[in-house]
Amino acid sequence: MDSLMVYVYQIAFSFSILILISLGLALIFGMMKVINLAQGEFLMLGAYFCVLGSNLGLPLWLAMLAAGLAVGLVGVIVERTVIRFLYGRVLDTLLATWGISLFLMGIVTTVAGPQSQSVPSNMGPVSLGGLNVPGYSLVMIGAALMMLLGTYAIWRFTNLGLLVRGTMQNPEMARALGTNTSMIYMFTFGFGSAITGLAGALLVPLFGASPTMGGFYISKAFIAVISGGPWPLIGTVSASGLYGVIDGVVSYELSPVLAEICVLFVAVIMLRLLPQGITGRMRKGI
Amino acid sequence: MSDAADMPLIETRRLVKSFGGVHATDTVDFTLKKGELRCLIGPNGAGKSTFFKLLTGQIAPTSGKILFDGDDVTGLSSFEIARRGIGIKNQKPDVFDGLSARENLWLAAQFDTDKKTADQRVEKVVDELKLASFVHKLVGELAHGQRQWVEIGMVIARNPRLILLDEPSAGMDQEERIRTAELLKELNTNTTIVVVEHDMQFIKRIADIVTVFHRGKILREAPVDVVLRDPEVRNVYLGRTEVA
Amino acid sequence: MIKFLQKLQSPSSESPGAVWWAFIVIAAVILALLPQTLGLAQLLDLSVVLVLALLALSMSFLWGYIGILSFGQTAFFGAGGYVYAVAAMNFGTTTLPFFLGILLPMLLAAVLGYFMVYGKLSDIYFSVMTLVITLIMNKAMRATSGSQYVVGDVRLNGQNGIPGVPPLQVPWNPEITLFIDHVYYLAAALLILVYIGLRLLLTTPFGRVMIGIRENEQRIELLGYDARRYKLLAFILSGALAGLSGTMFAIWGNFVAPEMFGLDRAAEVIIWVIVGGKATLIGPIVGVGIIQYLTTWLGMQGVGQVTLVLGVILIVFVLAFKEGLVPTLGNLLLRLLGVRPGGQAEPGSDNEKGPDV
Repeated sequence: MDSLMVYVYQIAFSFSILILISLGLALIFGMMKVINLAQGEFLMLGAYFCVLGSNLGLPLWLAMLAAGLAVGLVGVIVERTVIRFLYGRVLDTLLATWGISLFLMGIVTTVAGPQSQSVPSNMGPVSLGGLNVPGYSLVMIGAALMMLLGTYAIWRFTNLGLLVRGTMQNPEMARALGTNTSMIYMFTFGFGSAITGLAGALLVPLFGASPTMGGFYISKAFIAVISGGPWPLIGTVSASGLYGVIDGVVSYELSPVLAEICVLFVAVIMLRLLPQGITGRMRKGI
Repeated sequence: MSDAADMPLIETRRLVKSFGGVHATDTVDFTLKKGELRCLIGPNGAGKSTFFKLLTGQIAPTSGKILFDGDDVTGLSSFEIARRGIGIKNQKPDVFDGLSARENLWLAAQFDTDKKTADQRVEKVVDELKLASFVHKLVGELAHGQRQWVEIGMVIARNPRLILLDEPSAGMDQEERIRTAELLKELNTNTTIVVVEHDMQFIKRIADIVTVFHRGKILREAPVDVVLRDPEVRNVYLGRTEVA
Repeated sequence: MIKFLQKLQSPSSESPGAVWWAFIVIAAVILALLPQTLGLAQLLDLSVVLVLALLALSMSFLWGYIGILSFGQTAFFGAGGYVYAVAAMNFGTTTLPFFLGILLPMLLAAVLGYFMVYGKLSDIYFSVMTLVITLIMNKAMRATSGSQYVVGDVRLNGQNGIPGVPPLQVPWNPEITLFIDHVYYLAAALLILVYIGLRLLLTTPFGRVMIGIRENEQRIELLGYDARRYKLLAFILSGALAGLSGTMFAIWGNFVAPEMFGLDRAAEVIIWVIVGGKATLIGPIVGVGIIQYLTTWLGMQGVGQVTLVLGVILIVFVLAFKEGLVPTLGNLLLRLLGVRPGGQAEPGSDNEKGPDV
C-alpha cells in the first residue's frame, strides 16, 4: 500500500506542475489562437516578482498573489504593444513572442544577475506512506487544483467569462452584439499571463528562480497544450492527466529526463493518432 | 466496354454531409453516365459547392457512398481522387498566385508524365484557351476572368475523365461566356462534365439535363425547359431574374 | 544593375540566367581570395559564419520554398555535430563520420517528419513540436554527465560537452588533417554548392511542386500530388543540410556541447532568416553574417545582454520589416532607380513570395 501512496503522490505532483505551467498558455491559445512562446519567461517573471515581494517583507502567499497580478500587468502591456498588431497571423505571433521571451530573459539577467534565487516555504517534510515529501508540495498540488477550479468558475459562471467564450467562438458575432472584442483579447491575455505568473511564483519554494528557468518548463507546457487541443480547460486537464501519469511514474522509477523523453514520445504518437488533440473532435467544451 | 455509355461514371448513394447538425448535403442519390454534360442549379446555399467538395475529397461525407467508375472512393484523400481522374475548378479562383500562368499549367500537366509531354500539353492548353498573351505573368496579378481561364486550363491539362466546374463563367463578359460554352461542348466530346451555373442562357447553350439542388437535396432532375417551367423550381428561385 | 536587382527579387522557377551565374562566380572568387588578406583569427570568424549559413539555409529552404516553419533545425544541427564527434573519436578516421553526421540527422528527420507530416499536423503545431523536440534533446544531452553515459569510448559529458573532436582528415591521406584555412575553404565550397543546388532544385518538377504547396496546398492535392510526401522529403533534405552544418561546426570548433540544441541557438536561426529575408536564399546568409558580427561587436562594447538586443531585433522585424533586409533593400533600390519591383508584392504587403536567389 505504501508504494501505491507514493505513486499517487508522484502522479499528483507531476499533474499539478503540468497544470500550473500550461494553463495560462492553453487559455491564451484556445481563446486567441496565439501561442505565447514567452510562456516560460512569464513563469520566470512570476518567480522573480515573488522573490522580490518576499524580500520586501510581504508574507509568501501575498508575494505570490502580487506576482500573479504583476505578470498579468506585463501581459496586458505586451498584448497592447505587440500582440494586437498580429492577430490572425499565427506564425508571426509565435515569432514576436519569441522575441519577447529573449527580451525578458535579457532584462532579468541584467537586473537580477544570472544566479538562482529562492524563498523557503518554512514547511517541514511530511511523511507519506514511508516517503518523506516536502510539505509545501502538497500545498502546491492544492493550489494548482484551486487555480483550475477558479478559472473554470470564472469562465463558466461570470458574465465576463461568457463574453470571453462568446468572443472565442464567434468574434464577428460578439462584435455585432456590441462586445469590445479588443478589450476581451486584452483581458484574456492578461488573465492567462497572471495565471502563469502565479504559477511561476508557486514554483519558487521548490525550484527557485533563475533567468533561464523558463526554458526548463516550456517544452512540457507546449506538449500539454498541443495534445489538449482546442478546448483549453478540458484539453489541459486531460493532457496533464495523461502526461502526469507518465511523467510521475517514469520520473520516480527512472529519471526526470527520461520521463520527459517518454512524454515527448507519447505526444508524437498521439499527434499521429489525434492530430487535432484530445479535444479536437469535441463540438462542445470549455 | 460495350455498355460503356450506360455505365455511371459517378454515383452517390444516400450522401450526407452535415455541419454542426445542419445538412448541407442531404441524402443525395446522384448518377451521371459517361459522356454526359450535366448542369447543377439551385439558389445560393443549396449545397452545390459542398457536393463538389465531397466528390473531390476536399471534405469527408458524414454518411453515404461515392462511387467513381464503379469503385468506392468514399473517404479517399483529394489527391487520390484526383489521380483517378476527377478534375475540379472551385468556385473562387483556386490557383498558385505566386507562380506564372505557365508554371500553373505546367504543375497540372507534368503530374503523371515526363517534362517533354508536359510541355506539349501546356502548349496545347495555351493554344486552346488563347492564354498566350499573359502566360508569363504572375497569376496573382491577372484579372479575375483570366485567373478563371488559368484554372480551367489547369483542369484540362490534367486530362481528367470527369470535370467539375463550379461557376466557370462567373466574372466573365458575354463574349467569354460564349467561348466557355463552346469550349465545354468541345471538351464534352470525350470527357464527362458537371457544371454549377446560375446563368440560364449559358445553361441552355450547353446542357440537356439539369439537376436542381435545394436545401441540400435534389429537387428535380429533368430537361432544362421542363425544369424552368416547374412551379416548385420557380418558387425556389423566386426573385432570381435569371429564371424569368 | 536593374536587371540584376530584379533577378534577385523575382520568385521565378525558370532556370537562373547568366547574371545569376556571374554573381555566383564573383562570390566564389571573392571567397577564394579572402584568405590572402585576412589573418587566421578573422578567417576563423568568417568560417563559422559560412558554417552557420548552411544551418540558416536549411531553415529558409523549408520556410521559403514550401512554407513550413521548423524551429527544430537545431535538433538536426546538434545531432550532426554529436554524431560526427562520437563517431570520429571512436573510429579514428573521419570520412565515414562526416557522412554519418549528415545521414543520421536525415534519418531522425525522416522519423519525426513522418509522424508530424502524416499526422497532418497544422503549421503552427508543426513549428512548436519541432521546437519541443530540440529542447528535449538539449535536456537529454545535458543529463548525460554521469560516467555511465558512454558511446563506444567517448563520454558524453553532459553540459560540459565533448572537447577534442578530431579535425577532418583528407580521405585519401589520413595523415593530413585540415587546418583553419582548409576548413574555411571547405565551408565556402559547401556553402556555394548548397546554394547552387537549392536554387537549381527550384527548376525541377520537385521544386515546382514545393512552391505549389506553399502557394496553394489544396490545389496541389486536387491536381493529384500527395503534398505530404513532398513535405516529408523537403523536411528530410533540410535535416540533412542542418546535419551537415552541425558536422562542420564540430570540425570548426573541435568541440560539441548541448548548446548546439539550445533555445538560444534555435532563436538565432530564426533571427538570421528573418533579418536577412526568408523569401530569398541569399538573405539568410547575409543575416548570419550581420547577426554574428553584431553579437561579437556588442560583446566587445561591453553589452552584457546580447539576448536582450536579439529579442528586440526579432520583435521589430516581425512587426515592421517582415520581408527581411535583402528584399526590403532590393525593392528600395529598384524604386530609387525608378523601376516598379517587377511582379512583386510591395514591401509590407502580406504576400508570401518564393525564394530565388
